[in-house]
Amino acid sequence: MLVLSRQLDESIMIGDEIIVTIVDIKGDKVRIGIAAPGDVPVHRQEVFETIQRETFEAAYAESQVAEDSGPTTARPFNPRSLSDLAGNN
Amino acid sequence: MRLATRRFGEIDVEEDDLLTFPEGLVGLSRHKRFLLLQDPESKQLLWLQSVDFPEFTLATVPSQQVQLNYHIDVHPEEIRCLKLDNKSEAVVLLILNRVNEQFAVNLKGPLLLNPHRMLGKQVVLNDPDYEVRNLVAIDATVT
Repeated sequence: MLVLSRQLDESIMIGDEIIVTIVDIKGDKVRIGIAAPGDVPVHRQEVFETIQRETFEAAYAESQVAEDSGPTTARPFNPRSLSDLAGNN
Repeated sequence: MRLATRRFGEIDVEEDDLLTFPEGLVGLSRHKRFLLLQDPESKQLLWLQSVDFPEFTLATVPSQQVQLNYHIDVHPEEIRCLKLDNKSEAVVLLILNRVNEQFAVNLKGPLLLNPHRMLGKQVVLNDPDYEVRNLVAIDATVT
């Protein structure tokens, strides 16, 4: 891992477009400002990992929402019918 | 094409039925192609079946069936890949999970769909009121 020392109000560039700035330092807490293009998702690591784990567990959980009932007649569902519903409200 | 699934066996699929998540799911970037299936028993339940990973199946419910005041606050740039003409076109699905004997939905990481272009994206909401496991009352007729 690259480690850089920065003081208050100093920044780091990541690529051409992402700027990470030290906004505030109080004791063991650091506030960081991140300026990035809107299509670059920025998340707290623990939140990102929690979402990832939850999705994974939901997809593979043994005790899923419904019991496995073997091959059924599940049909493709067109989500357009949901937006039509929303439009009517 | 014919799609192999763990839960529903083999299913005939038209190209038009496929949902594409161009960026994959959060932290699961290889999961890009899905099929949305209506549960044969419960009308509330929609299954998001992975095309490339037959074992990967998410139970979901449309958000309007769960929580009335659910507010999705995302930057328009973040959901640019959905190519929505208007944010109100988006359909929101919540991932369902079972916690002991109750149902929980993930309000923190909803799935947004553009139903007209069959595109999807999972977003992460910063709202501290939304958890990854919010217990909900669902009239689940599934057993």
